Amino acid sequence: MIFLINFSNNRICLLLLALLLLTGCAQLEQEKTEPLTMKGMDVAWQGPPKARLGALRCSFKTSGGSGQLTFTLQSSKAGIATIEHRGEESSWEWSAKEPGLYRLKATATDETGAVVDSGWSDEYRFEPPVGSSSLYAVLPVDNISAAKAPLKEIHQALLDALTAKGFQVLDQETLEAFMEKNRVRYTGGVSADIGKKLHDDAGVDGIFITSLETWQDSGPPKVSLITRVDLAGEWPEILWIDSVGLTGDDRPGLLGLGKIKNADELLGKGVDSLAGSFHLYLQGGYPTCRLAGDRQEMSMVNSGNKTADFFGAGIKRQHRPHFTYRSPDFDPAGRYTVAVVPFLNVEARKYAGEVVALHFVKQLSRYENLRVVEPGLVRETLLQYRMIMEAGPSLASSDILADKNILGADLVLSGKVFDYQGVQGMSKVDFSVQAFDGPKREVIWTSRSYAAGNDGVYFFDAGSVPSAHGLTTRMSKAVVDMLEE
Amino acid sequence: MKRTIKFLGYWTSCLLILVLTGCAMSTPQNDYTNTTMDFSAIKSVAVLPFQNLTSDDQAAERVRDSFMGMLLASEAFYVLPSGEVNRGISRAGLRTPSTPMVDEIKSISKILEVQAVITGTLREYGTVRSGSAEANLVSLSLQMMETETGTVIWSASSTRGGISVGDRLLGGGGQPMNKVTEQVVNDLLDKLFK
Repeated sequence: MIFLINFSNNRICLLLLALLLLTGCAQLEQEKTEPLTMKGMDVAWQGPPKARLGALRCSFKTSGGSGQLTFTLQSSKAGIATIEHRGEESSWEWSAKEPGLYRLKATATDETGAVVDSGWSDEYRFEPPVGSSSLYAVLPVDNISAAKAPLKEIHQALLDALTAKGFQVLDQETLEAFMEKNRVRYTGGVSADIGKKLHDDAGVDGIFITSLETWQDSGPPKVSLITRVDLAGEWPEILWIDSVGLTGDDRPGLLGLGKIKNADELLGKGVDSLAGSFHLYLQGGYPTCRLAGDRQEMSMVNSGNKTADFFGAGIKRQHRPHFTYRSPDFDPAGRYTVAVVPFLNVEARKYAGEVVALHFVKQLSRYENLRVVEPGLVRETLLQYRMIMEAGPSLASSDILADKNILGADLVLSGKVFDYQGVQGMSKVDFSVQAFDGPKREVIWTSRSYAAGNDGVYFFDAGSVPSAHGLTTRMSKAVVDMLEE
Repeated sequence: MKRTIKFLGYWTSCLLILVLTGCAMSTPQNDYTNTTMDFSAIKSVAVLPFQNLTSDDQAAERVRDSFMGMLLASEAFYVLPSGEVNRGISRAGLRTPSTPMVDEIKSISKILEVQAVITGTLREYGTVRSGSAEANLVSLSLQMMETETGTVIWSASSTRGGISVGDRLLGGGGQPMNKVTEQVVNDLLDKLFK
């Protein structure tokens, strides 16, 4: 007690005590970190403002925060926000797969869990990589209908429809000379070499590739076409793909007055709707599926009613797979490069494997998180490595397709077609699908689908699907929906 | 009175014997499961091509595809894709993949790294007729062999479809073939996992 009184009376001691307290507080103040703040996000164009060709360089500026920061880059299109990148880098380059108006937002999170974001940026417009003024090469029609068909007339009808819409088309003499010079025989796809030569030598920007799925002149006439546009260059990419399947009995109307008996009339309607669909793509109105990050489900941007195949509308319970398996490790929201291998034809008609594979290429291409490898490149790889798949792809063949120096496919989709009928009688389709995860070397998806055009039809053919094309469109859409849901 | 009771007792005993033997005959024990086998040790299986005893050349491949898909969908085992199994068959040099020998099973299991191999025999796949009625019928038997010793650890068979009383009375072609195949496979999977 006496010591304490002496100590308090001593001014020097009191001063020392005060000094100690003050320095202690200062140290505490130094340990307290500055709160995490987002100072802004710099966005700059890298290359042309075109989808796939150009990119946006996004750099985030932050201050404060505790420990290592994690950044997330989100993009928003038509009000649907999705995560594009997540990591520790504070600068990213992002390119849109599909044309349209996009906004960007950066989010930073520190180790304490503090989250700040930059707010949504201004709108950035990604134009389509090709336009109305671009030059297009329209390859001759690849016949996978397993029937004789007037291919030259179909090709001409397609050229007429495209020129009527104002597209610039490479004249046929030049195209034929190019094909002769480069020995191009296969017109159902484009290899890397041909894609590059078409771009460099012929000055082509886009390549129209058309496959004739069904052709029947009479009783009733049937026409099905699958058309896609590839970006010309060393790595041809599918920009747009759509299909049309028409039969004379689609809308018979009262007393059968609506029936179409002329195949040329059907063909005219078909190529017009395909040209219209591509025009829609150039305007940015083509529907795509985009992952809504907040709901963790796929949402459609733009209406599907204007596409030539109506986006697989009218899917009923009977079109869904009868059994499915999806690996628990598979993340449907991930970004994947997909190689679709022609399906194995077990007992179906000739080329049925190619037809079903093209339907899957079409369905998968419409997802923004998936990049589907041009089937011509897949074919080129299969031939180059002499891969003959008698029972579907093995892990060894999947390894080749997944190799970063070859195709870099994260997913390899294949399957078997057991039945494909659509020319005579009621349509009937039966196939199984299998998808490999290339890097993980395991099956991530298996399903079996079979249906007939008159399944679930009881009164006056209401709700029947007369064409195998329509049935396959619905069935393949149902499979992809379940794979991505 | 005594004679009547004796007579009744005699007939009751006969009826009881008939009922019991009838019940015994209605559930034939064709299936086999090795009770000492630890099935949880099996992580991945290879389904070899089925032996086809039907007139339809591709029927076995159809049924095998359904079986492989449904077995994988059960998530009990990882089922190797058919392309990979085919590669294993080529590398192991199996002469008759549908009926492999023990040495061949051991050889293919080393290549494919599987703990069990499934073989099958498709006995019926088609339409059966009786009078004016007809219906689809599928009959399949399966065997599972573990790859360490090549012994059979499970075997079962199933037959589904055929002409029902309804088909006889009302006509109709029975159920579609794919549906009947699914029923057979489901029945076999139930037997495997019971």
